[in-house]
Amino acid sequence: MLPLMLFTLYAIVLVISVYTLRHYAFSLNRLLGRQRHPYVDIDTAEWPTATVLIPAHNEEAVIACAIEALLDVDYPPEKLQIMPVNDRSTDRTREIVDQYAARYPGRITPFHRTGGKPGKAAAIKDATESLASEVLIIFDADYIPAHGLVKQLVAPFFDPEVGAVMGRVVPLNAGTNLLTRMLDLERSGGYQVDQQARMNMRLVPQFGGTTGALRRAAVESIGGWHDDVLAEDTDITYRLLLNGWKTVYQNRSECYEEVPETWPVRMRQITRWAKGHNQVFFRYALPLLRERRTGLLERIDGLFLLGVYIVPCVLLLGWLLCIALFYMGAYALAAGALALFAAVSYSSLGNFAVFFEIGTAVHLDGNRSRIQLLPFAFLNFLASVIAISQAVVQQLRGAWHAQQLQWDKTERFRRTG
Amino acid sequence: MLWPLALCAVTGTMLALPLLPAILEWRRKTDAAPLRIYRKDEGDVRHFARTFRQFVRENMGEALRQATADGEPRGGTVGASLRYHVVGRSARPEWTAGEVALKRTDRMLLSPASLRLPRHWVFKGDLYCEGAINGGEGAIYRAILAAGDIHLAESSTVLRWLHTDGSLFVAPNSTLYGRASVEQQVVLGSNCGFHRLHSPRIVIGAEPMRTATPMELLEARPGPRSRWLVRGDVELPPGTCYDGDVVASGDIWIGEGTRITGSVKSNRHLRIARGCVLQGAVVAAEDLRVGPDCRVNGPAVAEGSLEAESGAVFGFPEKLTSVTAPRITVAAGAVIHGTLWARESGRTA
Repeated sequence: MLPLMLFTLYAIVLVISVYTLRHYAFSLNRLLGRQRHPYVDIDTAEWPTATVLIPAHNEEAVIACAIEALLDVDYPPEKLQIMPVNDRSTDRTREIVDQYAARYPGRITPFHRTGGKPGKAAAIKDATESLASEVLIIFDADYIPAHGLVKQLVAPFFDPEVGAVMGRVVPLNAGTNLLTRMLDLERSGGYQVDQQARMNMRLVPQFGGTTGALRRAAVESIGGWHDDVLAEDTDITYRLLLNGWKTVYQNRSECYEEVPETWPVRMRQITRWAKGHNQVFFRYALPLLRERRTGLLERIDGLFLLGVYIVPCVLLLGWLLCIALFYMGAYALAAGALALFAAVSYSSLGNFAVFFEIGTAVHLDGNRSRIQLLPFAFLNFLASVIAISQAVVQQLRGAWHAQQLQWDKTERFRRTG
Repeated sequence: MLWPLALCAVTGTMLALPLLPAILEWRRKTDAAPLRIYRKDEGDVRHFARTFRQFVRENMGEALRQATADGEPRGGTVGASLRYHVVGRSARPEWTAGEVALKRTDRMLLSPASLRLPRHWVFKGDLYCEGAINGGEGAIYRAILAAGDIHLAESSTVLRWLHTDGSLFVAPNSTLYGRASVEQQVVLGSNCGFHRLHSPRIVIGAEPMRTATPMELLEARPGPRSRWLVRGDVELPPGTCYDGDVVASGDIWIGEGTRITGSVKSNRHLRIARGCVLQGAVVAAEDLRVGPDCRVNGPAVAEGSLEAESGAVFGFPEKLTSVTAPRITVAAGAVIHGTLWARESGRTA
């Protein structure tokens, strides 16, 4: 038993050490490396036709803001279609959307869905079946796109290798309470450092499912949307990668979003993300290893990215093993591993971004005082560890009983219409 | 009883002490505002011109109207320190003795009609002109807004931005830092530096005689095209016709006279030989060289340097495009319809 425990601990320490090095590489790249923003200067072109999809399930509080912002964007109106996807709403979402469609005929073409599979992926799949636009842009209903954002998200598609584009999301309700301030820091690290470093290093930036765009031809070439996944964004990122398409990240294409303001909502959100992400891990980890057309570094980074919602469980297991080994008297045998584990654990605490990535991001964003909140990020991490571990257990139990994953919508906090 | 309590209190304080800055920031919220996003048009090439025109109308509009009516020069101050001078009927600014001695003015110059400016002067205030501007040799300008044509003499420098509703003619050895938006056309002389130019027609050197052939005027076919994905280098022999996109993980060499109906992407260097027609975009992860007499209809993007040789044409007057790279060199005879944007340095040969 003891050798097996020791072997497991050494393996965990190895995994965590590699993740730590990866995070250090990202932070150093953002501070010292060459920054890639190759498409940001394309401001004049014959823009392709684009459809903005706004998946909305009971979004009466926020949908009007999103539509208003999209009506004001800088893009040739004859080439831009706005499509609110009303997914089985039971509140006033349909009424609000129809009012806008009546006021702006031809520009807003709603898609009302009254039945079918629940979930964003299924709704988008149904809505896009009849679309002819070259580019599909997705904004969640609580997002408020800026004037120039659509052009910025479309510009990379002039590169024939690009299949998906991801912008940066910025919490609008950052100052509401301690949780939103923690999430603001986490988002900064995740986008400003993690995503941009992967873009710089030509690795695998992730399409996040909102504030992003997809080339319709690319989506069709990989078999369209999968509606049996919880993380349709991660699923499509990996299917594009496996079929020779690139996902690019545009750090300067920023869009406001609303982050959860209560811990139960946050826990449900992270649980859904973890389940969805891990579902993709089990689908594509092996195909990715076997895929020879994709570069070796991309494949390695792709695997690490797939594992981000497993690492917190691995870390938890490592801590438990350490305690068990200590009481079993194996301290001398595991001393080196324990020391290394203690050193690297701190560097692996986080989901989107670890602590020093958050520090780097806050520095790059030019903010100062909010970095002082960093010690509290540990609370966020502990909550995430619990949520992710629960998700893994539920997923394993669900797999055992052959249950389907359930979609869980994130609650909105904005009150205005 | 007292000592254990005191010990607990001291221990608790020692534990909480490192968290003090976090607790203070949590309670005081000194840095809790959402990150600022550029909501409007700050990135637009005409943004400075638009805001400056608005500023002039609001603050000096009356002085300009009076100068137009009576032809008399006048001056004034806006706010605490911004001094301005409105040029009269003579079309020649009235300089102070100090300005003449230093060959420098800090005042903002406004003219209701065309303006002729002296040689080797430094204009530290912005220029606003409702007619044409004829600049002197070796002059340095902070910013220029003109309704008519702008002629910059040899070795001129614009430090921040420039806008004209007419055309811009830049003599050799001049430099345009920042943004330049021109509504009609730009003619750049040899050895000129630039950062960001936008115009329906940007001509380098002499007027080219070449006109587009029917093949060049074809648009890239919309919708899905075939995609040739190559791991490694690609060499297209001269005279190749390819209907679709070409993507390579290595270098791409495109032979003379090649026709491609889609876009081309190289993850290293992209070289396009003489007389090729590319109806889509050309993208290079490193350097891009567009050979003589080539036609590129879509955007041209390089992450390293971009070199456009004589006779290369990008976009159409009615279908503008972007040519962008950190470093750009454009030879005489090249024409760009749209935006020419060198993030680090741009230069004409």
